[in-house]
Amino acid sequence: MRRLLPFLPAAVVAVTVIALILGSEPSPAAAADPPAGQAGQTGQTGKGPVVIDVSGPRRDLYKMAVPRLIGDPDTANLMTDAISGDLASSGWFKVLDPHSFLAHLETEGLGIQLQDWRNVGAEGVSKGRAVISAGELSVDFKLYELGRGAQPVLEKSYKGAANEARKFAHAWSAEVVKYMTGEDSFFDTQIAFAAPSGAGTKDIFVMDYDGNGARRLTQNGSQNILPTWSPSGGQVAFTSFLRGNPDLYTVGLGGGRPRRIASYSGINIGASYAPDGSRIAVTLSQDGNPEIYLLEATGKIIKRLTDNPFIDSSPNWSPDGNRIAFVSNRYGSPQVWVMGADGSGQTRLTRRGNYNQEPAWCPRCPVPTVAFTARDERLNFDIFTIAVDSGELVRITENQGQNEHATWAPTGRALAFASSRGGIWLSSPDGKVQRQLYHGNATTPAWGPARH
Amino acid sequence: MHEPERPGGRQMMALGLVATLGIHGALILGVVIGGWHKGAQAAQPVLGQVVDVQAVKFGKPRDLSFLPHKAPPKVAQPKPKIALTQNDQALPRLKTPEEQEKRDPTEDPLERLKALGRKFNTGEEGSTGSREEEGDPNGLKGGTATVGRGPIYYQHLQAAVQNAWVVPTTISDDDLGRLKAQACIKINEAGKIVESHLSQASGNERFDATLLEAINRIQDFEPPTPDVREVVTSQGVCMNFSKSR
Repeated sequence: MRRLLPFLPAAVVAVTVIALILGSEPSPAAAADPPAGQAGQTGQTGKGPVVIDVSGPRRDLYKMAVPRLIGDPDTANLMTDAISGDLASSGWFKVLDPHSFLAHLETEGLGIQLQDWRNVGAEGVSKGRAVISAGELSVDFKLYELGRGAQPVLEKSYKGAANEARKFAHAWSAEVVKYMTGEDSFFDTQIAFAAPSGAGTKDIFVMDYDGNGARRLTQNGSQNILPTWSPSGGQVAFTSFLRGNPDLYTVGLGGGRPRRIASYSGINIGASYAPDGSRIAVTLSQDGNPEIYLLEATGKIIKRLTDNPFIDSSPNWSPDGNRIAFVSNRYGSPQVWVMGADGSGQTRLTRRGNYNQEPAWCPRCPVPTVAFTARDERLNFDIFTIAVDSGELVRITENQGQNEHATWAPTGRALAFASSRGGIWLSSPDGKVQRQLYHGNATTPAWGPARH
Repeated sequence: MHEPERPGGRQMMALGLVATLGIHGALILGVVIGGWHKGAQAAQPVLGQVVDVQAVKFGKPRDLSFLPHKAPPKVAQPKPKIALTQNDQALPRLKTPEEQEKRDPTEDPLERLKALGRKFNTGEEGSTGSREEEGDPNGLKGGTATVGRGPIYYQHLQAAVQNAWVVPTTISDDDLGRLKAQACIKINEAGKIVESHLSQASGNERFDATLLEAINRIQDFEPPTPDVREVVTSQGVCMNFSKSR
């Protein structure tokens, strides 16, 4: 026995280890991995049903069917196109191809056969009837959610002049978005832009957001560029070479004679209104090189915001009015910078790429976000957004020609920009949904506020 | 006592002596030849080595400005390279359509389950299966033994429902994070869902509709395996739906 004594500690350790291993050995079922991520517990207690956890749903656009309205054919076509365009542009919906529809629209009337719409993958159906009688347009709309049965979940009627069809269509689209998301829409907004209007001349134009109803605001035989909206939407500021020097003007939406508000020596360009409309940030070069100044709405200089031997330009206010994004080449290449509205705390925002310009602050994004134009390593100009706090970049365009001068919808749910693909394009903030809004020659779009 | 001399002893001694001398001689000869060869190599002449070169000026430099001047021909400039500043990085690229199409298999719960089945069958680390196939050849390799938590049938059901569950973006992420609901189903022996109802509503009808729609999409499911048949056909299966566990 004595000879075995030295082995006693080793034996004790061995027995302990074996006991621990046996004690902690998992059951075969528990030992294996559950399906990664979402495979929850399956369990049964007593004689009740088994309970399973299901999580991590797929996220997708809401599939909306917009069959052609019934009634007056021309009006029905116009309104159907307007509603389809609105919902597709909103960023919430995937509007289904009408060629796939199985339902017999005339037989269905304003009701729906659930299965016919389920079979084409629809989750919702927007139906309408437009009737013109004695020059008066009467429209009835119904919205269905297939998951909630064959009864309409939203109904609206509009009456008015026959030429108000497009307006009623936008109003219905806005109701649908409001009902489905609780959010406001931008279907009643306008976009200003500059476009060639003759030999060596450019004028300022305004159109509905969807590219319809474009009309000229200026007609002075000069170069009129870089429009920007006053927060009220009542007037547009722009730079014009009307008197030789690039001076700052404003013009009312009704057109008329532009009013010159800033004509300092050198350039007076790239105006941006403060959200309250009381001040204008603008680039002036009266002291030799382009610097950003703060003006009263009347054009009187309040303060010089930047002061260095480099170029500072393209100011754009944050929606809370506390910060201004701008472009500076003080570190060698043009980059987007941010400063306080009083010029304090100037910090560089973009750090990738070496040619970043034209910042546009999102008016209503979940986090402070600035869109800008960047030139990539292949010398293509594309639209990006950057989260101001985290610096997270999102590329909106690539391999789609040259894309420049982004401007946000007042809801922050869409961007518009000029593209070499032709005219003005709209994109969802993630770049996944893009539509051509305006087919003509147009540059420097500026998205206006909602019309009240 | 004089020990008699062994026959051949002298010859052996002589042979040993000769061998010793021979070996030593060979060694000495090797050393001498080796040294001579090395010496011959070292003696090769150095062809030349430039240590320092200095131009030598003769007198004052002449003024050559009287000579006619011509601008050097312009060399075609290559496209400017984007010289990133110290802190600059290249801009991000969008995924190509092919890259977008290529889904990570781990995103698909059915793929995950299949992968788990493969792992189970190949007896990889962490699996409880054997390398031998068993059971119905049309069924999951490895049979219907439990993998993970609970019978594999429930995990198939879970994966199928999750795969079919789509929540539209009209329900915001914030709202989705708050919503929870429960739906219960019964499945007959053929695998058809014969009964489904919302046992606990979320308060958001549109969200609740997505659960029932998901169940509707898997209307014809797999016939229940023997180990769960009694439960799923009589007591049913309830599913807790939420954005994340």
